[in-house]
Amino acid sequence: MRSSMLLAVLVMLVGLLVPGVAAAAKPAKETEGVPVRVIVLDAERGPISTAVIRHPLEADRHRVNSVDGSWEASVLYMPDGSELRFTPGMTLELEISAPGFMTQVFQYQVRKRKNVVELSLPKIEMDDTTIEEPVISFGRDLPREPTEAPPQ
Amino acid sequence: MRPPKLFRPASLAILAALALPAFAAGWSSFENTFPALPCQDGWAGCVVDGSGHGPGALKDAAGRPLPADARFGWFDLKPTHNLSAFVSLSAYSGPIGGEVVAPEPVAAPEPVAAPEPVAAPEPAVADASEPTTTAGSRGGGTPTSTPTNTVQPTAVASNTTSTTTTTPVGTMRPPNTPTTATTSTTGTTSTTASTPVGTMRPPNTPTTTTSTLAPTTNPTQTVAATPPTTSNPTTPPVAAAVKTGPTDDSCDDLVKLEPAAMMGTLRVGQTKCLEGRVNSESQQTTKDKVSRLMITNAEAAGDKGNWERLMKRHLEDIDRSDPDLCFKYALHLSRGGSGRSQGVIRWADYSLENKAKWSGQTYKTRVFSLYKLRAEAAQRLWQDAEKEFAEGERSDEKEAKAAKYRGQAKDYAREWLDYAKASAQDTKTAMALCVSSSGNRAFCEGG
Repeated sequence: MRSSMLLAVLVMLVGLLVPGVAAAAKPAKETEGVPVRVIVLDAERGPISTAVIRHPLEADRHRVNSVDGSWEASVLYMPDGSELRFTPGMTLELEISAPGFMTQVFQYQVRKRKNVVELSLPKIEMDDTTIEEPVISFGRDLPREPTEAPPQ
Repeated sequence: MRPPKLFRPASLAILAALALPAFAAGWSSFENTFPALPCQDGWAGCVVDGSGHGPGALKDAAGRPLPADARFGWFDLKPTHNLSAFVSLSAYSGPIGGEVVAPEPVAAPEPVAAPEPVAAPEPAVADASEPTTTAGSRGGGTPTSTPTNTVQPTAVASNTTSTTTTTPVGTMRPPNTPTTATTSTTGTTSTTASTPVGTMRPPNTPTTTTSTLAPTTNPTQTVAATPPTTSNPTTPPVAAAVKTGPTDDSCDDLVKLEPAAMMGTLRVGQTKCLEGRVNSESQQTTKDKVSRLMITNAEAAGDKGNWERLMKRHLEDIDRSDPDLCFKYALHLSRGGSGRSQGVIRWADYSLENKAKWSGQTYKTRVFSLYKLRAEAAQRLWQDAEKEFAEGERSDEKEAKAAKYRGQAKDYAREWLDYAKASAQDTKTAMALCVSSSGNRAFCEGG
């Protein structure tokens, strides 16, 4: 009798502990962060091979894949040594730039999965048609202006 | 034999009831069925193909429920709204806060490339003592005959040699050889015109009647007035005859040559004479004057290749203290692509060295333009270096080169921005370049 009661209590304890163990296992997966993929495109929807992505507080710039213009990460390492893990629900701020294109800062709310963001950068218009050209002057000798006679 | 109390049904039922909470599913287990943010762009609600879409269950064609973010129907495998993972963000097109919807701006037309300059005609100097006449024109008719591949000989009578020579159609007449008449063997054209040599006209084309005393200075207008060659574009056109008098190709008096240089009508003999003076003059100041005359003539004549050569020689060998010349050359190079960006920076720098020669509004606009040219050239260099590193075979050397050009682009963009701010001019592009190269808006906005 006593042993059967002991066994029943044991089973109950195991039953109660199982969800706890499962719950404990879940955060271990979350420490990896949710991957976020950013694809940088130009106005014609072509990948920008020279684009770089940076968190405003981060020191390093991350180059995109030069073939498809994509960059993917689940964690960023800050200059103070901390790690910024992407978790569902968090708002992520990133700065995208490329030579010859306007820099853009965008915010994105991380989802549990399928975090694929496409971003197109507008080109910087470098127009020199408005520059007025100077007229080339001929090389003329300037006549010397006559000076007044010094007072006697 | 009775089973132990633990395995009796009542005990088992109690155990099962106690264990149930452990195995009960939480709300998080249903996230797959009711995702909180089902839209592709990370929102809880969106419009897909004109219909609203939210966290509620989807339904397939038969009305069976599906998870909100399912791409295919579970039962019929038909695509749902979420099939494409690469849909773009849905845009809000209506007015915001009661504002009136502004019409879409009309796209600016693409700039049309300027036509290549037609081969500069040899200037025909109008001689008052020799009134020009135009005769034999069939006036305004549309040509019925078409040029052929066969070279048709043309009899050319020259008043300088007093002989009649036969030259093929389209051969270039030697310079300074005035011709009095051209007789085509086809018998369709017999014209004595005041059109300068080099005026392009297809063979067998009737000329329009002109009675101007002054020579036609714009050859492209004459070309436009004649019907285009349709059958064979490779057939060389007939050069019209020109009647000119003896010419004076001396170049001792530079001031006297200035009007012709401004019109781009210096004769070949005159330019040769000037060229000789540039090489033989001992005084640097005289070289400078002669060279300027030649540069002005080449520019007015639209001879860009020669202009660039003369300008480069002037700046490299004669004088580079004139900021206008350096500025003009830098501007010219900036229109030649990224391969000339180093030159743009170099001559913009030389021009900025002597910017004190300008004053007032000229100073403001020129210095602003020079900073702009330099920053844009540096940006192009950086862009090329980054592209070379990213798309080619990666190496430390290429990365260092890209970093160096990025630093240069950053410095020049910042200098441009600072000057634009200080002189109260447009800072938009300067700021964009600065932020792009520095990667840090705070750096550019900082005082």
